[in-house]
Amino acid sequence: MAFPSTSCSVFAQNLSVSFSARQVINNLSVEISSRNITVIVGRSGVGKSTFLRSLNRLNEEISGSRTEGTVKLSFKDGTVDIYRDRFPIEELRRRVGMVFQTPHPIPTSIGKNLSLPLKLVLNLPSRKIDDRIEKALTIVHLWSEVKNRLKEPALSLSGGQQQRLCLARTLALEPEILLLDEPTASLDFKASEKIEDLLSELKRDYTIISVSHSIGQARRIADNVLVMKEGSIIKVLAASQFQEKGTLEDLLNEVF
Amino acid sequence: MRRSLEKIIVILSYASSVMTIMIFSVFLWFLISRGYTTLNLKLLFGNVSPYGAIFKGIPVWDGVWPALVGTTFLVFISCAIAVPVGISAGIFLAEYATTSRWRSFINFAVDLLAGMPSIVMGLFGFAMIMLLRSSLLPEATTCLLLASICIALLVLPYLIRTTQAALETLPAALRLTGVSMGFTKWQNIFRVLLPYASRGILSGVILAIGRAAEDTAVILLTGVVANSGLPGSLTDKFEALPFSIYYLAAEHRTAEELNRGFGSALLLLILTAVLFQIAYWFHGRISKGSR
Repeated sequence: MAFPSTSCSVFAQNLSVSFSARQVINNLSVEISSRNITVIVGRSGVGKSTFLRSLNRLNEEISGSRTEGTVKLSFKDGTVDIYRDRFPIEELRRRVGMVFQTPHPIPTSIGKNLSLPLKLVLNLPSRKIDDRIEKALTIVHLWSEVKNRLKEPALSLSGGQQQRLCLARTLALEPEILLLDEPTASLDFKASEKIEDLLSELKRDYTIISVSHSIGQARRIADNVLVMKEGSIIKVLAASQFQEKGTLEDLLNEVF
Repeated sequence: MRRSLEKIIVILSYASSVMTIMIFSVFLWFLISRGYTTLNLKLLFGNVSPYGAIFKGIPVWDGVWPALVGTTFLVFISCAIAVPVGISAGIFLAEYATTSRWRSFINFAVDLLAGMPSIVMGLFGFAMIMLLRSSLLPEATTCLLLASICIALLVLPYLIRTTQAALETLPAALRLTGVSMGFTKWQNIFRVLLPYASRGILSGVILAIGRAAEDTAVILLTGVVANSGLPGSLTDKFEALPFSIYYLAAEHRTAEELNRGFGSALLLLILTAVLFQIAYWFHGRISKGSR
């Protein structure tokens, strides 16, 4: 089945997700364009994270989950209907990278946090692994800070560094779509700013979908804003509609 | 009112921890004051030279060296059986047993096993040997292997429960970390969840070692004897420190013999401390190895 438009990389139709009979995503349909930052906003509990997790089938790891509807993702080599095509779930999750609200480094060294997934998921030889580690850490501006301490425990890094490490770990796997579940929620102002700048750089190469609680952040980084309420997307806003300070707040106030 | 209640709780918890230390100190002082005079090479080797006993295999009849070696073997063999099985079962219960009926059935079985008095476990081992003797293996007799298996059964529930609890209390978001990168379920458990849970699992192993080293009731019925020398194989009878202590204390004729019982108790305490250190060291090695 063809995509509605070529620039679209995520296409969801009549998507519903429930956990043990509690409906969280309710008949949601949306198209998300590629190489853009799309920010999802909405109050707590409207299903923002669940929607993100429905794009890499991560809800299936949570007991009692049930997903209906269609999600199609377009990758460089074709389109996958993720709930119908027999596409390997591990490969899907590699291509749809995800970073969470709280950074969770593997309790090993900084270097191993990046090398382990590359070895386990991609089976890369060690020579290539070193290149990728350097590349990924450079992208997130962490290389200069950690290049001499790759053997030190990852948990010794600061919160902001850990979050950038987790982002690098995801990027090293060379995903095509990036899901971010409030990536700056546990960070201070300075560290958040770094991540925001980073995301604006990254959107040249990735389709980024991020959940955010901060309207200010949405205004600064988003090309599109999806407003969620009661498990559905009730409004789609383009950047041109909220460029001026305060307009996004006003628009959202109307909705809530 | 609420303030003073809070104060009382703080004082009580302080007092409890101080009391724990005090009880341990009194206990240790008691053991040392009674046992230190006997704590020498003669207690271990009797009239045999240590070199001869350790390297030439000269039998020791009036020392606790064979008991020390017997207990060490017992702990290592029973842990070699129980630790892999216990940790695997804990992983299964925490991560794989999804149907609730199956899960509650296993939980029930583990609870029963945990509540089993050790003498019953000893009786079970004894009955098993009787059964084997009258059927497949007429030669079978109580021995080091049987005692180790029964001890392994005894400590299994600790290992299962601590592993299960250590895994189940990990934050839910952590569970998604590995799989979100494309790890398989097992890779996620082995590479992400177990390293996070390893401290908790270690405490279960420590508990198991302590229990295996001190239990007397199980080995009483499954192969321990007062005087057998070093066990030559898994199917030999063996000596063990807790049993030696019991034997020395129950059958003593002089005060000096009773003090040797205290000396042996001190030795058992030192042995378990050393075994705990080995467990910590092993844990350190594993977590370093994954770096």
